[in-house]
Amino acid sequence: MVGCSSHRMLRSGVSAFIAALQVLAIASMGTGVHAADSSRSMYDLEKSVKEPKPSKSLAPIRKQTQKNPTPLDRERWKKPVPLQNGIKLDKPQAIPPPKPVDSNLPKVELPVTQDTAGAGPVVVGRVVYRGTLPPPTQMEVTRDVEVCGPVVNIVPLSVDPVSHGVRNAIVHIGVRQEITDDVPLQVSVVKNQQCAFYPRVAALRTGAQTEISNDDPLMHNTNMTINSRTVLNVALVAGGNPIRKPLKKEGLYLIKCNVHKFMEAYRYVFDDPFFDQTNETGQFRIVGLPPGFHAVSVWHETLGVLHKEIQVPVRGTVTLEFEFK
Amino acid sequence: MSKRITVLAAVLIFLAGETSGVLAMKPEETRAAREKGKIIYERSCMLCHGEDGKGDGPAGWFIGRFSSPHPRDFTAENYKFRSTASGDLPTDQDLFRTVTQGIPGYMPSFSGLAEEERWAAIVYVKSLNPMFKEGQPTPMAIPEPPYPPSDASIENGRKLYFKYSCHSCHGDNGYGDGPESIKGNLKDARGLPISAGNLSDRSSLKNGATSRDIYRSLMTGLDGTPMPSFADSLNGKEKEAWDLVYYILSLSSERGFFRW
Repeated sequence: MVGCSSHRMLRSGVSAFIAALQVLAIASMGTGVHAADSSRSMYDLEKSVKEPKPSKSLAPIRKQTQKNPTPLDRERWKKPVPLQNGIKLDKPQAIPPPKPVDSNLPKVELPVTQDTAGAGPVVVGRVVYRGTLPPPTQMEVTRDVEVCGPVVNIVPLSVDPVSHGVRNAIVHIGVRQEITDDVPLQVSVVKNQQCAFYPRVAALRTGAQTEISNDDPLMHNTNMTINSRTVLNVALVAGGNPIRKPLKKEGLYLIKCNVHKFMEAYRYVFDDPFFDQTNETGQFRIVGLPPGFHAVSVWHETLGVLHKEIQVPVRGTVTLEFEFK
Repeated sequence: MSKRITVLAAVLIFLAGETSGVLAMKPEETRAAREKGKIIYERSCMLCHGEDGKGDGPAGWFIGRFSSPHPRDFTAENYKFRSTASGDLPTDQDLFRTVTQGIPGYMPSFSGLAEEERWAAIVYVKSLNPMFKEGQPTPMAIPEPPYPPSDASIENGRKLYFKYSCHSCHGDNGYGDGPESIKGNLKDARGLPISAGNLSDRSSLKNGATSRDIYRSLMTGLDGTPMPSFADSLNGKEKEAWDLVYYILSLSSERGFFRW
């Protein structure tokens, strides 16, 4: 009997506790609504309940884009500005306004041959770098050591110690008009030799054939891309025949071997013939330009890009100097 | 009565076979076809490939963020699965095959769409890349296997596997654990790390796992990845090519489904 009465007391206590909880819950709901707007009618209350609450988790994705930025809209999630073949370049459009060639620049006496001096305007010049030369990049070779050697030294920046001229810079003059000429296109070479591409840098016309060959007694692959788009990716076995491929698009091509990651080369392709590659002393020479204002650009694989605007006369020689800082 | 039912059933079966077997004609690439394709694209492809086809859809943002593969950027990027030379765009049939079969492990098969719908989506996808207007790409000849595999051909293929340095990426046993893959030296065209395919697993062969599929992958390469085209290296060496194909097929465990 004692046990039965205590059991009843426990049950009644639990039920009383539950009832108290229900009362509290109802009271809190009531105060919540009326605290927000005590003058609302029952109709307003129903209406407010029906209105969808702006919730991030429940709102559909399409609606979120209107109020809340999607992951793609947020600045920190945006993709970085694509680099051109992984190289950080200045914007080619950022050409300074037309101005005469700076007379304060140190003039370099450059030879002008007689046969072209009277035929039309000639643009000659030099690309210089007077800064500190970075040490060559050394990369350990982990495979095919017998052909590639144990260590590969990569010297992308070659500067003449006397004239400070930069080798293998590409100089291009954009003429802003359609060029029609019948100059035959020359075949450009990409040679795999001792686990390096030769030449490392070259410039060529649009449509010119590129001949890829392998002189090494091992397999390479030549993977050419422009703006991260594959132009050609071919396997080259030892002793295989050369492969030819025309480069049809203007721009900067990156050439890599996926088998030997230290192998790298560049080809700059232009729609017009007004380009040159600097020699050992950093000199360049471009002929056959129409007179007028033209934009000159210089590209180097490690130094970047420089721009200038020049006025080309009907006849005569324009001397330029570009200095990378 | 039973004879009539038999004839009727035979006619129905014949008609059903005819309608399912007929390949829907690719529509003309008109504005109406593009608009129809856009509706299908937004329903089926946009989630990964993005509203503008740049591979940046809401789900695509998560896929391939830090490692390859990333959803294709239809506006500029290469296509891996082609029957054309390295650097060329795919043919319409290549695109139709990829849409229909999907990419094992990554892209689902859209064979649930009607053929007309798949073609319409392809017309729209092609309109996103202006390079498709420059002309129809020329496919390579992908022949039928000229002879069945044999122990001798597989053994010769094993030698060629090492001669052509397949092992440097795919590993000595084709597990995708070659030294270049293990060291993380392999990158795709976006610069994202990419691992070599596991040749011992048929589902890892994204371009298909039949002998013709592997032959096609060898000849065309997979643009945008380190896998090069061997078309020039194997030019005039058909026997070498097929022996290599048979050896690669022999690496996978599904010997009971050995299709050649």
